[in-house]
Amino acid sequence: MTSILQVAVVGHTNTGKTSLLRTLSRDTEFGEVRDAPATTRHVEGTQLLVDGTPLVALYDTPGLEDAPSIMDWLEENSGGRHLGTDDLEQFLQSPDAAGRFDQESKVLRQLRAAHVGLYVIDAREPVLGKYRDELAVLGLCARPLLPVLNFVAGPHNRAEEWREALSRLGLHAVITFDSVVYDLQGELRLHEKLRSLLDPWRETLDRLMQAREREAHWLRQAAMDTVADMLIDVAACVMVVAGSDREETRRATDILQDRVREREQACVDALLNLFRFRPRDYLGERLPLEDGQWGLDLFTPEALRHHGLRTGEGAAVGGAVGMAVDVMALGTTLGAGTATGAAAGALLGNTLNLGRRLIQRARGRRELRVNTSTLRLLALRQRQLVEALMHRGHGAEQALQLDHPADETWRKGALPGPIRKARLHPEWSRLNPQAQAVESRSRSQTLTQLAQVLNGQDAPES
Amino acid sequence: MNTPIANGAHRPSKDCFTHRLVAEAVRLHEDRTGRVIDDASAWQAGRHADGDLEHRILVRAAATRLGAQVQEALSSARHVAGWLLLLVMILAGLGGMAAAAAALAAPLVAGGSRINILWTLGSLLGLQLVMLLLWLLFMTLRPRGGGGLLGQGVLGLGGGLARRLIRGQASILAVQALFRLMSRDGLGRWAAGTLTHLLWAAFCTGALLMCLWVLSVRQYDFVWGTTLLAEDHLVGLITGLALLPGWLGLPMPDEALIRASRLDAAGDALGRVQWSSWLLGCLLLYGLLPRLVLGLGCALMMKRARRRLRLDLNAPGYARLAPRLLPNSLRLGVMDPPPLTLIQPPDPPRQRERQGITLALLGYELEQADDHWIQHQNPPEWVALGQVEDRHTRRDVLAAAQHLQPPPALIVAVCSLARTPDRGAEGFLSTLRDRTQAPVWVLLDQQDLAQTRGIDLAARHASWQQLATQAGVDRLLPATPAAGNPVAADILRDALATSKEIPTP
Repeated sequence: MTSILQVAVVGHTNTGKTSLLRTLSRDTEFGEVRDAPATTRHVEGTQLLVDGTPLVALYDTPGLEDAPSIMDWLEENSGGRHLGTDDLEQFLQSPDAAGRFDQESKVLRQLRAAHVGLYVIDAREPVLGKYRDELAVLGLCARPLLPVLNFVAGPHNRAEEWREALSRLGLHAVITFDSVVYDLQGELRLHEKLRSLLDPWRETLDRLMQAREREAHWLRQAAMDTVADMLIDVAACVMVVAGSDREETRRATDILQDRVREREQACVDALLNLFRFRPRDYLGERLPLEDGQWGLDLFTPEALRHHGLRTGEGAAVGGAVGMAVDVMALGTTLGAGTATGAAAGALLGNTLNLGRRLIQRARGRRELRVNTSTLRLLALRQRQLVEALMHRGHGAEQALQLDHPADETWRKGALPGPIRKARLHPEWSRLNPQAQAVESRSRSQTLTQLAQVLNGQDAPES
Repeated sequence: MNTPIANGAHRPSKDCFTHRLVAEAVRLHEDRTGRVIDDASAWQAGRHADGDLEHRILVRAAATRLGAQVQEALSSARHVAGWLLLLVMILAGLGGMAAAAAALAAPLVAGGSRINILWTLGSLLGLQLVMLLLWLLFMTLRPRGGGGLLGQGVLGLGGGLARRLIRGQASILAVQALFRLMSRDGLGRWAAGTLTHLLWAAFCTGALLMCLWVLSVRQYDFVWGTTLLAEDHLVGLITGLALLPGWLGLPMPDEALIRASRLDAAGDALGRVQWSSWLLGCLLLYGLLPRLVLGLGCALMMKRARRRLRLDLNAPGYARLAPRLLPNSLRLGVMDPPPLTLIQPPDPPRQRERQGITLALLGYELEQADDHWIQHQNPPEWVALGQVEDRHTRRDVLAAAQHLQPPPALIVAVCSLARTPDRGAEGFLSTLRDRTQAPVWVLLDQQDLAQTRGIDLAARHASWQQLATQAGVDRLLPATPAAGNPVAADILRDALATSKEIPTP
């Protein structure tokens, strides 16, 4: 079939029709969304594309606001007969349809032109008589109608009441899909239900479902790779301080912290872009970073404590240097475990260059690294952000709020192998000037392993 | 065109390895500079290309200026690489010739022109047999690495030369991208394997040619001997080695000849033709042929790996292109525009005089309507007209309000803040006002419900305010969003107490 499945999204005013469209089309900028009646007063369409091919066209319609009056009108004009589609056509031709019922007749015309209608319901609302009237009017359009219970993720919903009421009206295929709290399975169920209603479109909907599943899988992988990339950059980052005086060290620490912060921000930007969310400042609705705990400085002890991380892990030196940085004076502590590890790594890694640097450092130079707690915090935060973005509908208007991560894997125990490995390879970090091996095979293997760890799979210890 | 996002199954274009190389080079550049090349026409080309994400990335990369430069650099690099390969092959062939010449020119048995046949064969085939075994060992033990020391060495040499000799950003990127792709999916391993076997094949060819030449123009006596081993073992070895060349029809020494050629055997050296053809046959079948076969196999595997190679679309450098190259949706725009009618400001409600003392109360789309306070526990002069739930109750309540005797002094419609005000409500309120003579007030109730549902109370109140104005309602209670959680009946009582229109009973 070459044509496109036409779906009209209808429903009472302010039930989240535009939000639903945004979520289904992954388009945060579609239409206008407000918690107010009649935000959408026109019919607007969007096509769902799979690899550039349009499969489904969705049409956002104004809310039905006065269906009871249409029923009254129809009953008055039908002369007591049983109401049918002809009566509806007659209504749509009448001057009233263009006048006081303009908004409603737009909806009805669109549904008549579509193959199927999604009837969006705010499941927090009680089942009122006016909704039954709406369903009666929509029923006259002689199109299959799939009720979609929106806003079901919150605790105050009446999904059960609605299901019962709808089945009493003969609508047994009901779907719950929250346009704000996204759930892949929910979206797949929605398409599945449509498929069962529309057999000729089976193939189209199958393709759409496959594409959605594939896309979600890919998104997760790509997001984990993005986070792992950032973590390796930060873990491998090393700053060499020329002198041994405090002022020098302090300055270097500031530079290091700035670099790490910038890198984290770049990762957040990349994730938002990947999931097709945009920071929309001009509407005054800010996505995560500026508010809430995202504003917490990465390096403060509070931020670490908030995530349940111990501070002062590793060999942090004095208050002047700050908690988040390990200082390693190779000249004096060559025997220490980390130093030996780093030296060995350097010797094994890249020959001449690093050997020379080692000798230089042995003459009293110092090495600054990001400490373990900070790495843990970065990993926790970014993982949590990925999870949150995976479950955020594109219709969501409120800025993302992340709470305390419930994830224990990163808070305790040793750092995962790939990160420990990355710490020994300064040449892997983009944050180090003139890093030679950012594109090396060993780095990309480590990255893959780390992404698996982040993804909750067991990576082979290497 | 339902192709997976990750593993594109679309027909690859003719030389899509080059395209992938170009894309990889562009990615390397973007990664290094830290930002994506913003070439509007390239973006457009990518976005309008059919197919999956990878195809779009390839099209976009090829359409950038850098991509074109890399492509150019690649074709010249391919030229150079071809010459380089030829040179190395010739060197290997010369090496083989030298080895053969050395083996035949220094007869190891004193007394001039006698050659120890097994020693010669060993010196020509032994090393490369050991290398072959090593290669096999590496291939099985370290499937990720391996690929032949010689080939790896030549590849490394080529890379090192390229790094030192090549100038120009595009060429450097092209070489780096090539090595990056080579490190993936066994491509480099098979390439190195191909190279290794080809070089050894060249070596064998050289040796074979040299042997042919030397054996053609000089005369040798072929002998063999052993100190440690039993004679039968070596006879068996020689016969065994002669088996394959014998099948090809080459004249081979028979057992009698072999035993006669034993070093201390009496008698003249015999069977020179048989022995030379044995030597040449062994070189051909155990030296050249296996290398050729393996080289061909590796070349086929390399082709396969090249064909199967896909960009790593999970990598951040590619993933970030997806939102711009592969749109999920296409906005169709407004199909049915909103009405252009000017919203006329409604006539200001004319002040209505109250007549009588009764106050009519009605509920509009309230939750838990049955045990709502409207229904009970009210002063006797508050008359409940009922609840509007659907259009039938709406009709009933309107009729009750119209026909209430005595006519009410005031009608209060109790609405819920948890509802979104709609035109149905507006229509009801204005009809109510049209059909009755008393002032109509709207009292917003159930603020607690709205609050638990997370509704923005100020915005919701504003929506009701607007609706009240449009419906010509005389008064909206509370006039501003109330703080705390007030009881609606109290608000109404307070309002009544301070209102002049309302009689005190």
